[in-house]
Amino acid sequence: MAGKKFTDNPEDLEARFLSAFEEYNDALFRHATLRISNRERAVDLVHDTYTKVWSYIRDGYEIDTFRPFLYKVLNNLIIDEYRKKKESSLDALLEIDGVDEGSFEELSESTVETLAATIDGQKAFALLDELPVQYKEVIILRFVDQLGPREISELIEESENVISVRIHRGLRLLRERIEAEDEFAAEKRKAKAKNKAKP
Amino acid sequence: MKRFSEQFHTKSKSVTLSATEKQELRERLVSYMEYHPLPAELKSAKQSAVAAKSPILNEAFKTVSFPFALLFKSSAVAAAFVLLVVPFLAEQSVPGDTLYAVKVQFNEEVRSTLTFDSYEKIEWETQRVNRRIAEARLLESEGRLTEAVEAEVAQAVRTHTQNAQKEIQIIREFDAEEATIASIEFDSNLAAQAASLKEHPAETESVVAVATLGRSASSNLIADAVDESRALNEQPNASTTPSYAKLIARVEQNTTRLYELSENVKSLNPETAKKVLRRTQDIDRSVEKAIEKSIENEKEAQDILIDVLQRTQKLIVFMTDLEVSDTVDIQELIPVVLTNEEEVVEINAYKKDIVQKQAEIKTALSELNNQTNTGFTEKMLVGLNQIDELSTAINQSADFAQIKRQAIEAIELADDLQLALEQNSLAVPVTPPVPTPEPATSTSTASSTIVELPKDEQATTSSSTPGAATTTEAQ
Repeated sequence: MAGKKFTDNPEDLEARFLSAFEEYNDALFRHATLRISNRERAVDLVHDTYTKVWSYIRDGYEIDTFRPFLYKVLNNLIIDEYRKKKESSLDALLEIDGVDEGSFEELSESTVETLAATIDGQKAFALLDELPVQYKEVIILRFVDQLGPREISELIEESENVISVRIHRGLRLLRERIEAEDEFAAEKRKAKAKNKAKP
Repeated sequence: MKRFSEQFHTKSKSVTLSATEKQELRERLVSYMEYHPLPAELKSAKQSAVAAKSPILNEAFKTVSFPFALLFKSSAVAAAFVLLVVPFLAEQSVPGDTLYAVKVQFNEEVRSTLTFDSYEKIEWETQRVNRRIAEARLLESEGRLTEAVEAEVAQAVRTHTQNAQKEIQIIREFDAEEATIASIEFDSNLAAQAASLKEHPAETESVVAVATLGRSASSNLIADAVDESRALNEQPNASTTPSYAKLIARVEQNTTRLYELSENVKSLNPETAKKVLRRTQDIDRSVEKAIEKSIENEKEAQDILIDVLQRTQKLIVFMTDLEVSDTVDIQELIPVVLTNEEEVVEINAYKKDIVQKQAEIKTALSELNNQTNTGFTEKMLVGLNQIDELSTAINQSADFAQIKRQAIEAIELADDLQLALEQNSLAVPVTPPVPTPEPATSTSTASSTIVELPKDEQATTSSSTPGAATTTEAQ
């Protein structure tokens, strides 16, 4: 991703950096917005991401592929952001996650697919904010940023298994929420119908 | 899964940066990059390439590197070039040259500025006028003198004259006498130049008749400017007469300069040196005369000294300005002043001439009397009477100038009479007789030729050395 080495052809460093900005600013912004649910702060984070990367380049590091590196930096910044906001709860959450390694079922990619097939994507997106942070993170990385499990594992420094479990659980949570909402909505409808029928 | 994934992804696409947000973000980033540029070893190699390729540097400001180090290193050489070499080369330039502006507007102006004394300033302006005219002459000799240049030179002459007059005015405020002396000198210089300029076209015309037609007219442009300047200069000239002491001091200064210059001329051109020597002697005599006169009549002495001052000034110009000395005859510029003895000799020569002419006319008339009309003879007699009157007046008078004027008048009258006689005798032979008129005409013509000779000589004596004239006259 990046290695400390003075580059041979510094001519295009700025050009490459700026083209990386053009290419990924939207995706990074989207990721940040969905993760922290604050549009303005997300813009700042994207900016900080790029300035950090630029400092890296100035220090003489060479960046082969920008995308994973940018995500890595942004992810660290988001974690910092969480820490600022709610230090205690994050630790608690991470602890819970660490305990549960997950079942075999949850580790299979095919079960993720079958599970996902049962969920309405649009409804799921709307409910993203209700997910716990660590599920939300992987769901976003997987389905919004469309990274593979391997890339995600490298990025958040967890094993692929953990990633798969989190995605699975995240999706399951989403489905439950959706179903709950559907049920709630159905009950509402019934109640309405009754109310209509009564008089 | 695919459906979910797609739905989810398309839904997420709705979260984007607006165009303005994106623009702002980009600007923030670019300015960050500018404030935190790449380190020198990375940057130096690529700065220019990036500037050309990317829009990063399309900002309101731009950095331009200026090779100060190099400039400072070579500044000594550059300064030497600009301040010494260029002005030196410019000194040789003429109108139309690239460096001419340097000469006129740098070299000469610097010298003007460094001259603080008004008197010296006037001298310098005088010199500048001379320089302009010399340039015009040089161009003319090379055939490069256009009308535009001519007009430029004429304008420059006017400007320098005005400058000189300004300085004279400044002097006048605290010392009117000095001012008058300065203006006399300036005027003398202009007079010398004017004489030279007027001489010049005529000379070239005789050499290359066709080519000079246009040029002589244009050369007059400068001559006109000089004349104009002189006319301007003459008004204050008359206003005050400098005191005797001031005048004599200035004359002393000029004569010293004259002796210095004449030493140089002696080694270069002995013939001119002789003429110059004669003028300096004249000047010395005039000065002596002025000193004598100063006791009884200071005003007269002052007039003499002013005249002397003008002569010395002209003589200085004659000796210093090569062009003037080439084109102008010294006699025209500064006529010889005769000594008392020379005056006596010349008056005697005039008298002799008049007497001889009278005798000739009388004999011719007596021969003529025999045959022709009385009306003509009467006229001739009246003429003779007039000549007699003039000659008596000459004998009584003591003033050389007056004597000379009267003598010339008498001689001219005699010449007229002789001419009339000649014509009459030519008309006479129509009537039949007489061999007698023949000798009359012959004598008259002969006499006229005889007279012509010394008269011609006289013209030259008045112009060159009178000693030669007296010898011919004596014969």
